Amino acid sequence: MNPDDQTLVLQCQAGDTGAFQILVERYQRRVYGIAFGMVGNAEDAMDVTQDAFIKIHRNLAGFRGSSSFYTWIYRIVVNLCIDHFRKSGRVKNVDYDDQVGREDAGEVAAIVPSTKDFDPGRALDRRELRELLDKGLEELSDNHRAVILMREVEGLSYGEIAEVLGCSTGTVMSRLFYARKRMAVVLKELMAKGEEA
Amino acid sequence: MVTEKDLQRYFDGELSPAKARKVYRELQDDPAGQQQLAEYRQLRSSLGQATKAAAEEANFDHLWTRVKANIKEEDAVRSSSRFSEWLRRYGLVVASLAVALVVGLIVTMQSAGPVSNDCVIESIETGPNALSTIMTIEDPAIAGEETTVIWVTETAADEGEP
Repeated sequence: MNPDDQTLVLQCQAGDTGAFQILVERYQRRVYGIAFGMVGNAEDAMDVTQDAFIKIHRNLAGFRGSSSFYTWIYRIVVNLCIDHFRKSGRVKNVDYDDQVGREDAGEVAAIVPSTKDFDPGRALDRRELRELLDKGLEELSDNHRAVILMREVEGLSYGEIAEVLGCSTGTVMSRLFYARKRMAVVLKELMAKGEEA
Repeated sequence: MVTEKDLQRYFDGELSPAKARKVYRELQDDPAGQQQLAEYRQLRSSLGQATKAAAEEANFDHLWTRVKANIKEEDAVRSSSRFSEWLRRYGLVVASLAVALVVGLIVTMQSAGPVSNDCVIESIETGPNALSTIMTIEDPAIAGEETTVIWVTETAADEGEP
């Protein structure tokens, strides 16, 4: 039987390195997935993943379980990715949706073009699709990228994402709405460019 | 017509069951909403596939080894810095206490003076060639016990004496 996260965390806090190894192996792919989506390349994603686990271990003593272990992990990973952008000068932290209240989703829809014709799976192989998605994600701000990845890839709820990012669920909703629309538009534009070329 | 906000929450499973049923019913007569929902699904599926593929291609064989090495290094630095911190905090106090202890010992020894036994001379007898002294010494190591010492000192015969 696999011990749950809480048990393993307690064992780690008591100095059990083996318990930490189980946690690393349990979460490495998910951490890497988020990091890859955020930073956009395999090498940097692996570096962020490694740094994330080192930071997790360093801070485990202070983890009191007020949040779930994985939302705590995501918070660390997202912050490391944002630090990574700052160091590399690739910061995109303009949050268009922050100027729009949670009740104003309709207004956001009005300023974002229609995406009716968008079909990302159409006539694209897996590699091409991934390149397009990477480019699309690159166009988003750090917060938008984090929100859409946590929701679409990791399946976190609005509440969990809010906990990770330290914002309200309303902000999560509007960021997610904007990110989806923006992704669809960017992908549509990129595909159109690809067809022209 | 389903609002964008409700559609998103419906898609993300963030509506109450009653509200979700209502949105589902409304979507039956809302082609634009259905189209939007299809786009959401498409994007989720594409992002999921792409990220999953990236994670599958990644090689995690050395990740734990590297993490473990870093943890060990950090632990060593932490232990060393803990000792330095202890020294920084308490070193002066410990050194002061040690100096005080040594000074205290020296002062105590000096004020006590040299260890001496009480000695009572009982009698002194002189003869032509010897001097005998009978004395008792109280031994402080053995309470209540006394030692009687008879000290005989031979004196040299005067030169020229027959």
